[in-house]
Amino acid sequence: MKKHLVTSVLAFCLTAFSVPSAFAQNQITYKDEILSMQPDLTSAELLSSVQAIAKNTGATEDALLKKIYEELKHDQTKSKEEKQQSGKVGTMGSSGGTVSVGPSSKGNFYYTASQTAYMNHGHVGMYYSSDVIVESVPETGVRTISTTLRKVDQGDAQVKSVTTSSSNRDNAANWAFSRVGIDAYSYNFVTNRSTSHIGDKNCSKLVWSAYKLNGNLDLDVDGGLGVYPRDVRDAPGTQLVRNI
Amino acid sequence: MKKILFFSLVTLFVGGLVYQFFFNQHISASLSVKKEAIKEKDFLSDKRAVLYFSTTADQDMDGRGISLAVFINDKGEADAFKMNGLELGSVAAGNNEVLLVDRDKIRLVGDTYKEFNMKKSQYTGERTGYLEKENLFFTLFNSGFNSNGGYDSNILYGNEKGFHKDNIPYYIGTSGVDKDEIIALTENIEASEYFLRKITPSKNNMEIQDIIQIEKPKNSSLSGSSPILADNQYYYMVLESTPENGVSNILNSDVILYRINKKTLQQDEFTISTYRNEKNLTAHYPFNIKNSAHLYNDILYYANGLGEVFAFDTKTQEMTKKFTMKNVRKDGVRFHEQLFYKDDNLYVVRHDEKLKEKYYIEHYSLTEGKKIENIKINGLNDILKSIKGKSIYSYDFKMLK
Repeated sequence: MKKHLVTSVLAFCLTAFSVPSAFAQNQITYKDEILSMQPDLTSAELLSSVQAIAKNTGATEDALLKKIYEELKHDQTKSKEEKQQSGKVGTMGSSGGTVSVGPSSKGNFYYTASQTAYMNHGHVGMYYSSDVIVESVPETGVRTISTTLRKVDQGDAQVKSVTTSSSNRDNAANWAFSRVGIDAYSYNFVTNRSTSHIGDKNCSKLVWSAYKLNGNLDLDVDGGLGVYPRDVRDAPGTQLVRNI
Repeated sequence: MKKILFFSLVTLFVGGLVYQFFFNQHISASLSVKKEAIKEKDFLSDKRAVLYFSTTADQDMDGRGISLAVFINDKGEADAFKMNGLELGSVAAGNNEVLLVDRDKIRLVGDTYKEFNMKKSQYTGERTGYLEKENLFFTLFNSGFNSNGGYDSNILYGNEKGFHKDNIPYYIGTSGVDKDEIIALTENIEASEYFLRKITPSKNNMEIQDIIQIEKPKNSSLSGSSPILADNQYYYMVLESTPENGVSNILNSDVILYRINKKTLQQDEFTISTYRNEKNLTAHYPFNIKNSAHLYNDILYYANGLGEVFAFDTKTQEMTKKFTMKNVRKDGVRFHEQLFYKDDNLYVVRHDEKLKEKYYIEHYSLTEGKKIENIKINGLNDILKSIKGKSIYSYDFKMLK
């Protein structure tokens, strides 16, 4: 009877809820955990970038994988806390209010929460002009979109400026714009601080590289190996222009 | 052993609940259009309206972005047809047919159901439409930068016999249809230059012709606030002029009707509204800039996001505020509001948190400048509430009858 009950509950849980994975801590390595949180990143890509960093820094590959895992967990925790604070624990953006991103000055950037099946990384895009955003999105790579048309959830988004000279802001936006046609999208957030400025990049790397190369600003609140959208948003040297 | 099994079961159960409550995007059968039903010849016969919703491109990182075509039948009941995501996607209506587009697929629904797979996925829509004379549907995409640094706006056009793919090598700010031509305002973003161009798809090829460069105020940039409309003499479009720099938490902008003579190419500007030190930067943005203006009986109507409907008499060039919708939020926050014009009618999807069903359609007479009726929608709120783990936005609305 007990056996039946257990089998039934197990079968029910598996079929009804289709849980992607169960985490048995002792069987899963940091690499597996990272890849489960970043399923679009290939194992080969992760390992080759870790090996390259290990070679350059002298750190062990295990230590680097642990560090990457901790950064991902930290970002995930931040995301959950923000969701709780905003009262959107159930990610009910579909029935909540929405807002157009709206205009801002060249070189400013906007941040919005961005939910995927595995985690909410957030998303950043840069103002190329007062009404056009340049941003890197999956598959498409980089696109421009009107600030009138780009919609976000109310309360989850903000526009920020970077405290630097106006020429740095202009140059950063121009640089982002000049690279975007050439560089494809990259799913690698976890070591994107050490990947080349020239090459595949995601949304946060685009903004981060733009200011790293134009003003030598490090728009990453906690450094480490990866620069995530929230890291750019919370970076020192950025100022809130307005909440969206 | 028992402990491990118990722990695993609890983990599975909790994980299942988390998935169910936070990430499941299952829409109940009673609110879903069955795959077989949408293929039926008479599927559209009792459909009064359709709304289009989608996730944004950034949420497609996991390949699980979704879009919904929500059909509202004669009884006001809403049913959703779920597809892959396409930010800024839209629905085109032709003769007893509707064109649905998602990231990977084109569907013709109605007289003949047909599906066409796209060779290249698209993540951002620009406009869909129907060119009656050639019996061609088209779907225009904002495809992004290409490997040469140029910009691509891919277009697919065709009918039940098949679709051709072509490319418009520009970023499109706004667009519209003039009989059998697509009119686009393209932007050279780096140079801050704007060009009006004419795109003519026909059965086997497509032509792109320049019309004219649009003059803009110095140190300002222009953004589209309406589709491009046309009568026999002129092209019309509403553009918002904002300073190229210095936009912070307040906004100075002018919303202007641009008119371009088709023969002489003379450009005229007519101010619709002016905003100075405006704190709610986006409140006046139309509910949907792609559907915000309409020409009927020599009057051009333009509805902004504050619920103000302006009328421009194309004969006398007089601009007036025709009427204002009631209870429109003034803070720019939207709850899937949309609008659609047809002849003398303006239909507006509205939201009222106090109502049980939350969403309904207001029907206005343009010439009389007043509301005629409210049309109920049942089930839309339940459909939208069932989408969890993703944020979904409304991008189009059409009355089908």
